Amino acid sequence: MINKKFDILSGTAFLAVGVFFIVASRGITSSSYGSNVGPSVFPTLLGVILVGLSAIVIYSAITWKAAEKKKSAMAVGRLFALIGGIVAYILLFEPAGYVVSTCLFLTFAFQLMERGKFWKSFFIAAIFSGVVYGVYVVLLQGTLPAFPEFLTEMIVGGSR
Amino acid sequence: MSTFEYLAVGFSQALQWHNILFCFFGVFIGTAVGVLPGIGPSSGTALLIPITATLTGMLNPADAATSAIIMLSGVFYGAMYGGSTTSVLINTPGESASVVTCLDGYQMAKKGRAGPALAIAAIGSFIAGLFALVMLAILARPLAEVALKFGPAEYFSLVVLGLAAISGLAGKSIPKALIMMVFGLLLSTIGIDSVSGSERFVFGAFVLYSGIDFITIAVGMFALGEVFKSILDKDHGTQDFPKIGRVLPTRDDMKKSFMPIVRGSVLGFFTGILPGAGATLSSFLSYTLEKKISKHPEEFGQGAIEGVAGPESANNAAAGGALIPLLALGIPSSATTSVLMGAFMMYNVAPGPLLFDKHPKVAWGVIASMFIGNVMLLILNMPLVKIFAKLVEVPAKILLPIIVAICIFGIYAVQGNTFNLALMLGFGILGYFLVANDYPAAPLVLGRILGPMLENNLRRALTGSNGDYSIFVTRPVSAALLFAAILWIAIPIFLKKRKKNLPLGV
Repeated sequence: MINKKFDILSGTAFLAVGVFFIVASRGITSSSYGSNVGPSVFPTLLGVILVGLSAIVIYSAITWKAAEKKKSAMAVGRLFALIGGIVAYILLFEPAGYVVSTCLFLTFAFQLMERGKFWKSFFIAAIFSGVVYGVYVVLLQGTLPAFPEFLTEMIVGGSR
Repeated sequence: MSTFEYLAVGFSQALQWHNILFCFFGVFIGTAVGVLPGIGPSSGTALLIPITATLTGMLNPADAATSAIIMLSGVFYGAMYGGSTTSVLINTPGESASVVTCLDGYQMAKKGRAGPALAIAAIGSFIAGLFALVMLAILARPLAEVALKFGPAEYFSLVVLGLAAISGLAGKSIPKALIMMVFGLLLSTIGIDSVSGSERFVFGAFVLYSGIDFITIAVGMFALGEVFKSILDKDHGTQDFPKIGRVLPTRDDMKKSFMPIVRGSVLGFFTGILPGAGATLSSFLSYTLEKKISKHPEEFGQGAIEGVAGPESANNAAAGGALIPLLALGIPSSATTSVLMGAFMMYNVAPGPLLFDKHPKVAWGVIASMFIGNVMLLILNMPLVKIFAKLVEVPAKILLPIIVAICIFGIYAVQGNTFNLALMLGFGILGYFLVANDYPAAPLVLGRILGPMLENNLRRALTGSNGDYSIFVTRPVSAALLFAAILWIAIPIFLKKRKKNLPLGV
């Protein structure tokens, strides 16, 4: 099944991406010292190919006899709610710290998948985030100094 | 040194206690990944990369590479074992290579023979896995030595062939697959150019200087994308799970399955070597073959044990075969092997012809660990199969949110900034909508991984020829590889035009 509208839309988007890369390649400072081929050649070439391929997709979508597919509205709503939840999770991730943000997100997501049994959801969420944090921090202490902000964020607990 | 001595070196690596442990973790998690619904081998491997990086952080860099790759390849072939469990028990393949196992495996389960079906899948997988490994040990180094003679022009064409192969078989629409591939290649150009040092497509954004990392793309597209898909696709009701009962197959089962296992192993291995073909195709081919030469083809689809033994052996042998182009040429031939390749790169161990020279301990250590891993898998999948089968019953409503949380944790652990989290979410959403409309994800990830290699060889070749593009067609090996790449794209288009259906109708 081909979703005609999506194909035209996505084809156009990829066409725009191709054009963007071709145009933006011209702005690359070309210091092709020691090489005949500067840094702009490869992306320009790819941009041209992408434009060509997108044209094929758009063309075949326009000439295709449409057959649209549908998804249940409830599932779509749930998907968007989950995506919204992830956005909030990412925004809260550093300010609120790992345990708090993860616990909130998981509780929300469990409830989203199935209403009810709030405390059970909260309990699983708390255990998961606590265990991950505990294990990671135990390992962090000895061996991974590369992530200091993670720890400091947690200790300070909120000031970014 | 002979292959045998190299293997001895490999075993001395693989038998270190921490590597045995990593191998066990790998195959254990791999089996779980294969069994758990909504998470396949490519997303499982991608998700585990950050976690592996954390676990191996305590080792010195060289050992960390060996251990991490031992563990990640364990996930890769472990998932092949586990994938059959869901096919047999609930008629839902854990990964695409187990689709055919549903046909007879589920019928066997309905007749109360789930145990023997799972056992024969494990035994077949074990024999096939060992066969593929022996072949890998024999063939990989000679192949690498041939590839060492390649110049940049040949290498460029080889990468083109690898990209063409995975795009040609990746989805229903070849132009769309190619778009994803080119888009992946373009993403690889963002950041500081490694040859000239000029910045490309950064526009002053500090986070973009190091480029868009493959792991962010892979976790977003594979893992998050799959979560979004499962939310829309399934109702999350409860299901009946058949009892497993007696696990050991009867003597008669063994007799019936022996030849299908042997044929499946050989067929699967050679299909696995072919770039792009991989495990899924091999299991289809094996099923067709067994049905064709069987004395009682009418039993197929009704619970014939041969229909489980053959394809399950074939897909495991193919998983082993797929490691040959990855290790010897540096060209991954499937979504999962491209994720594995990304993992190699993260540890500064570039797979390819030089791997066996520069990092013999890693290369042979990984190969040797697979022998050990396969033995572990046989144990995990025979006596313990009942425990793993319990994982099938983990409800999606718990599992999916947790996968999201693991994605977030993993990417933050590796990248250390929320920009990459947002980027991952972006790729997840993009990936979901694109995959739902026949734009396959694998070519994009592969394009991102092979992009730098393709560009560097292109530029080196053109520098050598003073900017003359004909170098790619005047050098015979390069021309042959490019011709093969064109065939790989053209033949499916041609077949489609003639309305012939490929056996791989998924």
